[in-house]
Amino acid sequence: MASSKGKHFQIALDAIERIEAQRSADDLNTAVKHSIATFGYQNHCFVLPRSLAMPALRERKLLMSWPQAWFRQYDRWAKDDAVATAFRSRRSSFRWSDLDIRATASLRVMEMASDDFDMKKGFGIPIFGLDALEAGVSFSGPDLDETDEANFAVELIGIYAFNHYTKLRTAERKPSLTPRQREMMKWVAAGKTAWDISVIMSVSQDTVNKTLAAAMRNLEVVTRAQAIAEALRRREIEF
Amino acid sequence: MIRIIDKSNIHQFPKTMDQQFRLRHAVFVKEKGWKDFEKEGVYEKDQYDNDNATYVISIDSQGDAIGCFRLYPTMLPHMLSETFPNLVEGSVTRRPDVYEITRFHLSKAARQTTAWLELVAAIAEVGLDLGLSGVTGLTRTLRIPAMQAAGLSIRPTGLPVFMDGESNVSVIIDITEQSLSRINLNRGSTASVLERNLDRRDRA
Repeated sequence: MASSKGKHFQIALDAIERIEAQRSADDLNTAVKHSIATFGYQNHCFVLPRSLAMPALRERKLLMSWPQAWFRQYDRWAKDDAVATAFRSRRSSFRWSDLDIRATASLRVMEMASDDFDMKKGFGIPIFGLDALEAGVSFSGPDLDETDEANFAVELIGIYAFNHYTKLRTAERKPSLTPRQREMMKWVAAGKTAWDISVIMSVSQDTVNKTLAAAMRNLEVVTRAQAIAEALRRREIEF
Repeated sequence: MIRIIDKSNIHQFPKTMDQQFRLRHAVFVKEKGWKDFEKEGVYEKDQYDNDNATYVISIDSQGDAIGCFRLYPTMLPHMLSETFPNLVEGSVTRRPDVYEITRFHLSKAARQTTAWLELVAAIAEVGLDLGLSGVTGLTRTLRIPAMQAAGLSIRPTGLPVFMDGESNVSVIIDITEQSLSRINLNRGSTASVLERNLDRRDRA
């Protein structure tokens, strides 16, 4: 008879196989939802980290199965959310129940609201890319299998679902920088500061910052280092 | 630049090997707290540091070792088969074209993306050089996305477990030309990462 560990591993492998067979983000959304249902999870949310260039959740969401009504409420509180904060500070995956929820008023409201939407419990997986936190993956539901073995299976599913999402995205992607953004990114890659670039290109420093922020949104990254890496990966710029 | 050292050329590089064992002490004993393999208070060595090991060492512009990983044939008793078979679901992979990778590390000062990508490229390049189809090993589970982002194709071979308080998992990494091309695209260079003109016996 298969051990419980073996059983959980097989569930994870089957889920990864199903996930990697999907050819569109919509189908991937459905496959993820089904895969995590085994452990009681009802919803998932894959998001880029919050940044100055991309503060709003609607811009940062990659894959999501949240109810619309909850999403609208959550967007307002996201910056105070202990789960969102944990992705920044944690080097490992975590149960939401292990987090220290500070008792501020907005968080209490959110707690009650999340209860209404069956999102009180969950599991978070920080996804670290080449040089920074690349995304946060959250799975949630009202009644979860929170054993270590279930959590490990869910961790693998989250990591491989994210990887498959990035593969789909790369395959679908068209050139994503404007000529001006591309020229600025080349200077950023050459180590120039915003001030340097403003002088080189005879524009204001404010214009440089705005153009680069737009380029970073198009590249779906949050730091300039990531922007250089992503622009190189997409062959938008070359060394 | 990456230097490959095995029993056929190890006598030429006493300094590099000494630096490699000292660096492992700094990383695995001092940083990670593995006390079991501490030797003479300055080195980190285990039973797989023997004639069957191949060292793939990252060398900086001054000629000093700044990082390394070790390859070991899975046909011989190795770390996964002897110490962690419980981390592998089913039987541990043992094939002539699969080696085990252990002790992947960079010095603290060298831990940035360029040096890391060069060492990751060496996994694919040296693997192809040795005629391997894959390498097995243990990794922190949350390290998988970065390796995938670099271009490696990597699959779990068991459910993760907690080790040193972190989720760790046994994996197999496929060695293919495609992986090497993807990594090189991320590095922004198709040039070999390997040091040339090494007096090394052909083994593949």
